[in-house]
Parts: sequence; C-alpha cells; structure tokens
Amino acid sequence: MSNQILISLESYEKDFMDFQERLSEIRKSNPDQFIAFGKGKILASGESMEKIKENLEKLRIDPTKTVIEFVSKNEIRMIV
Amino acid sequence: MGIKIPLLKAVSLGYERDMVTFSIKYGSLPNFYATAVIDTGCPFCIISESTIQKTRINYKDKPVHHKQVWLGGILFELRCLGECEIFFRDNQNTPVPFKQDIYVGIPLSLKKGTILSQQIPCFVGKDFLDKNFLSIIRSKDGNTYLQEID
Repeated sequence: MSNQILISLESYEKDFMDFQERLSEIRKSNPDQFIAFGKGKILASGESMEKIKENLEKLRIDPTKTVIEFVSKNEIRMIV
Repeated sequence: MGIKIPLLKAVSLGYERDMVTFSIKYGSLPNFYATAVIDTGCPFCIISESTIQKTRINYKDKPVHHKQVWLGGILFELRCLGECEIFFRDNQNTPVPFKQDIYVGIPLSLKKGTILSQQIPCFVGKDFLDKNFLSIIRSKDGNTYLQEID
C-alpha cells in the first residue's frame, strides 16, 4: 500500500514539474482549456473537467492520479 | 531525525511558490493526488474545487465550515471533508502519513466556470504546520524543505 502511494507520488510530482516546464507552450497550443498531462505529453484536453474525465476514462487513465490543470490564454497573477 | 519533506519551486497564479505534492485518503475511496501551495497565511488545508472534481467525492453535501472566507480577493465557502489521511514523500523517499482536517474551497464571488475560479490552487495551511511542528526551511544548497523543528 505505502509503496504504491510512493510510486504514485513520485510519478505525479514528475508529471507536475514536466507540465510546469511546458506551460508556456501549452498556453499557446491549448488556451483556456483543462489539460490532463502525463508521461511528458498532453493526455487529454477539454473545456470542462467532466469532458476531461470522460476522455481519460476512455483511455483507461485514472483522473485522480493525473495532473489536470486549467491553462488560461493569459497568465493570471495573484498575491494570496 | 525529524520529518523532512522536500518542496517544489513551481509557479501558481503567476508567481513562483513553495509547493508540495501529496496524496489524500478520504473514507474508503482510493487515494487522490494533488499539488498544493504551502501558505503560512492560510489558516486551513484547502483542496480546490477543480481538484476535488477529479474524484467521486460528493463534496456539495458536506457541512459548510465557513460561509464567507476571502482569499486573494475571492470569496469562498469552505466545506468540511473531515479528517483525512494525507501522505507526503520525505527526503528518504518514504511516504509520511498525517491525519488532517481538510476543507474544500468553493469560490462564491466568481461565476462558476470562469477562468480564475478554475485556477485556484490547493493550500497546505498553518493548521497543519502548527500541529506537526513543521516550518519552511531554505537550505544553502538551494533546496527548500518542510522540516520538523524541535
């Protein structure tokens, strides 16, 4: 159980950092969309989370273990 | 040796922040995964609505903990998921479990589906850091950790 969590944590973290590296490029290619990202590539994209989940399920990919982020056309900056 | 969790330097809402990847176990459902901003100015641990939507958790039925919470100029409602088990990866590459009250942040002042409401991150807040005696430590080697302090 804990080994499985570790593997999934490592994999999620790597996918998240890969997504960060490619963010500028994705912002141009897929503006204002939810992006599911993994293994160095876009796995699915869509205008809603429901659509993304549907697409991932067709690919037999678990959305709960997948990096899914909304990418806006223009970068939003916010101080929290 | 105390707990030492490596943090990520990643961009959220336009600026580089201290972030961490973690896993959340809610009830009998399988763990789900998220990345959160470590924010000592945030009193609670908050899962964003877009993150919880990845799961089958019916969060809209959960009790409202705070009806009106402002965060970065956005009005939120916090719904309580209750105590969950969360896991981080430490510097020895071992999963470290914690019990933590988790809230879901639902933006109220933004129209549902707007660009900003979909980009609100998750937050690991002060409640978690205080309870577990964890502080953000910047090492001279350039790495940043959540570290247990005696």
